[in-house]
Amino acid sequence: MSTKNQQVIIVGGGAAGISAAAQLAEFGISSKIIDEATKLGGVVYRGPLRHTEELPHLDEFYQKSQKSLQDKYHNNKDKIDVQLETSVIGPDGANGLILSDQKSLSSLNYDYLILSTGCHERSVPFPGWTLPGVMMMGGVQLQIKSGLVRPGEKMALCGTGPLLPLIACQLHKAGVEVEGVYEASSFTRLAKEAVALLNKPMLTLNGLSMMSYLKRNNVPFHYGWGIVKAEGKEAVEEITVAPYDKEWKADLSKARTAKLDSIGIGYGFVARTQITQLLNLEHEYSYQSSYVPRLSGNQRSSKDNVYVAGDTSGILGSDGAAFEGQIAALDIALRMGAIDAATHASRTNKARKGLQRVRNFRFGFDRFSERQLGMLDLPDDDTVICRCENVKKSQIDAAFERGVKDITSLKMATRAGLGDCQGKICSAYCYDRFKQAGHAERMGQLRARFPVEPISFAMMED
Amino acid sequence: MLNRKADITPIGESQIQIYIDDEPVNVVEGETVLSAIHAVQKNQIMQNDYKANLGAYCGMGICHSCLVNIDGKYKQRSCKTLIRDGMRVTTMSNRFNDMGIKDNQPLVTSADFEEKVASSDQPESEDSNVN
Amino acid sequence: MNKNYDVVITGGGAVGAACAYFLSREKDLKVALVDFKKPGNASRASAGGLWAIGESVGLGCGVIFFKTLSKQMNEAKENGGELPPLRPHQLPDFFFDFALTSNNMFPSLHEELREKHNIDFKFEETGLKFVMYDEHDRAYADQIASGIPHLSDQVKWLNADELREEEPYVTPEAIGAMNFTCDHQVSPFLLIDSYTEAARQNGVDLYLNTMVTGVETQGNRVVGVRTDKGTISCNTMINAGGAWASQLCEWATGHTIPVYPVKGQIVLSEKLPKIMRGCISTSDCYIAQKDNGEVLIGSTTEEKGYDTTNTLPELKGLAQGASKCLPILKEMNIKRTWAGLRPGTRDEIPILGPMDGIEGYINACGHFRTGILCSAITGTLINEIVRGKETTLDLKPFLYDPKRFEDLEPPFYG
Repeated sequence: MSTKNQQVIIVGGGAAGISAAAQLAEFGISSKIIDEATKLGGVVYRGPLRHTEELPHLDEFYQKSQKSLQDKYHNNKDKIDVQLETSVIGPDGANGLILSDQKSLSSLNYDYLILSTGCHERSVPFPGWTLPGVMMMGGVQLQIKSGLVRPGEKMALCGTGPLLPLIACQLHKAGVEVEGVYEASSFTRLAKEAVALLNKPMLTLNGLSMMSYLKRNNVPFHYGWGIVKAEGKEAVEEITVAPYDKEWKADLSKARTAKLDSIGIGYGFVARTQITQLLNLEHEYSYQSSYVPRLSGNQRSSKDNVYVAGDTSGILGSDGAAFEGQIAALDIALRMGAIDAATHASRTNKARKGLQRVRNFRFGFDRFSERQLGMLDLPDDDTVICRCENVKKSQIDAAFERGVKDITSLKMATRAGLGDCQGKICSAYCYDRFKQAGHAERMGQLRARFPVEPISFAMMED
Repeated sequence: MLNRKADITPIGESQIQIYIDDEPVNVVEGETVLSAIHAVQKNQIMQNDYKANLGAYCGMGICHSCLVNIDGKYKQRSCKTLIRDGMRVTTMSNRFNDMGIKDNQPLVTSADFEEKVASSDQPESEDSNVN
Repeated sequence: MNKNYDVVITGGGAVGAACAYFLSREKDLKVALVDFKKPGNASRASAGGLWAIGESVGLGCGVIFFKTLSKQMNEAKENGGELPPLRPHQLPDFFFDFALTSNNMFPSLHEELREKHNIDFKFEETGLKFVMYDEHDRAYADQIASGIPHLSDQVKWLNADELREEEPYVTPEAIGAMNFTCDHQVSPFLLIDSYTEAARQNGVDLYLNTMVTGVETQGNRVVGVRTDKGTISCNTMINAGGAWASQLCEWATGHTIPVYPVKGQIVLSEKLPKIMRGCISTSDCYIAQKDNGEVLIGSTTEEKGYDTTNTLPELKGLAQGASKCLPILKEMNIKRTWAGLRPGTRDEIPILGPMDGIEGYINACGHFRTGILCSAITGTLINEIVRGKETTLDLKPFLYDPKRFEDLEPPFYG
């Protein structure tokens, strides 16, 4: 069988997926991208889902990056088959995937598989986090970028990292009154990382100009402050924020309140590893990204024909994702005989250098924004930890007191992780609890189960 | 008619409508049910099986906190479902509440159940012109 | 790990935890429970049915055989051929006694664990109904009933109307049901938690998340259990290793025992309002609604080594079987699926008690489909064996004897 006819499937049409497909296309290799959304681009770059004449709230840099990614696809359309509004919900046999479009199931075989399923926000519980109006920052971004709606009229942002100033500007430009931005890490930490930031001057400049925009518009930006709790009768009406020390422990004696109708919370990301888990790939614990698949040099997983690229392999953002997608594609192209070893080596080296520059840049931010465990003190006994199963912190505490040392036992003892979302939201907190207790090495992974998102019994009819 | 107050850019001419809790609202092709809900400044979207009121949290289909009843079907993720002309969306809709029973209470008969589900399809009143 | 224990139990599933609990009640022995949850361990995969009669007569998990039989009958009819003899797969009387004795212990066990240790494993009196769709089903049910005349007071027949009255959501196409009124259910996780926690409160040392890596012997005597955290010395070792019991036996005795993994897949619904009064078994699957509203559907019977992957055709079979029985499920969601590894034996009888040629070693394994159900009687018997007391039931048919596994008819599942 000609290697050119081998089926390359790419799950996730974001920066990594599209870059991989475009790279394969350059060497004449066709691929098929499966994506759950109605447009390509992934959470970051899919952009508006409805028609709009203009995008006043999204800066030029974003719009340029988005166009460049869409162009990567358009310029290679004839070699890239796209299946949208389709989720992968599990594996099928040794080399297949089960797909769902919410109406029926189908299956798809692959010779090579690239999993570029991205990441989602890390959910951090605190009293009131389940109130309507409390959203993860990624969710806020999706509302303004893709939904073109303001999720609230008066909002605060609490979190850490380069997204904070970016989203604050986007919200302000979209007409939201931004009450304040609360960055958990202190300004002095940022100054130390300035050297690393120089690796990517354009983005840094962008960063600086965002800060001056916020200053110009009197949007207070607080370093070393974070969320304590959210309150409200039916929805969020008020938040309490306080200074965080270097362990991100809130100093309640200096707490302040703010009235608003919505907040964005963003304290980091976790890799989306349900499919990688179901494929039985080897994973390793990552404090930053939660579990990530164990990879060899060219994005190859522990399964010979399965690659992982982008944030699913560890959070590096879309620039890193693009390089990783390329590297995976180059490796496949070599294996399929579409390029020779010399071309593979030189192109891969170039991509690896690009990836290293991204890593250096990110390292600056990541060190600055490294999550501290002081936030584990925020929930009180009655704070719901697993929203799907209504499991409170007191129940988690009781299980730890009884001596659970692994996540599956915690799940069984409390039912945390046994709900509709299969622990996607609450597992981050649970892993941090094990880390705090010194059991991160042996706690194991919360098992993803088929189907990774609920399907109806009707969909199981033949 | 529900007014869209939170659009960042105008939606332009709209030929299509959906109903949110029996109130019509203009919508545009391509948008999700969630953006229509947010456009009319609603953020309380569902009541879960434990009587907690929830709203959108992740915006990308993994938190299961933005679930609405669409045309009689429970637990549809509003962030992932595209609007369709004439769609009937009910917020705060929970199967347990609609069946009027709690866990472990005596069984309702299937006749009661089907009647309740069927009745949730119909608008409460003929007069749905509220501005 | 310097302590010397009277008893170390290797395996903390339903059986191991029950042994720990029953041994701990008199609070006079030094007992340790060593447990590592391997993927697919049956205790966590279980439906939690206490189906003493149902499992003994080949319902519940034995359905695949029956379905094949039904197909054979339909095909034979169409081809005008001879019908194969109807043969419900019934286990021997001593197993019935074993299962029913254990079953009868549950109400008082439930109360005892609640009162003395404040834990509730959600024992629920549900009954188990074999729902019949056609005359083949009815003939099969008749055969079953005629095989258990001594239990006729536990068997209640329901015609179509009576079935609809009791189970309004069962399909109107059902022609009736055979109800085993003494077959109930528990929450399997809570049961094991209850045994384990009660044992801990009684002074048993729990070595959780701890993997056994070998057994130490001196001559023909077990003197300790090696784990990845150190060696635990003991006078007696109880092999409650589930689907991994054979390896434990080999470490202790140099010989394997014929306990091997039998895979079963499960489909679980989202939390639902109460749509079932009792547990149901059909020719496609069994269905049980748990105390939190999730509807659990099982299971398959597959010999696939230690593989625990879910496979779509098998899951579809279970989901379709459940939707056929309870059509309302069609609009409900499947929340997750999993697979467990039952510790199977060729004659479907557990292996209990001491073995020739080795001291300080006691089998408590091979419980196949009835580990949860028979945990209570097993714990009781093991406690009696350790203390040298007369056993509640005759142990002889359960002892390991290679003759048990000779000349068996081929298994009904593949």
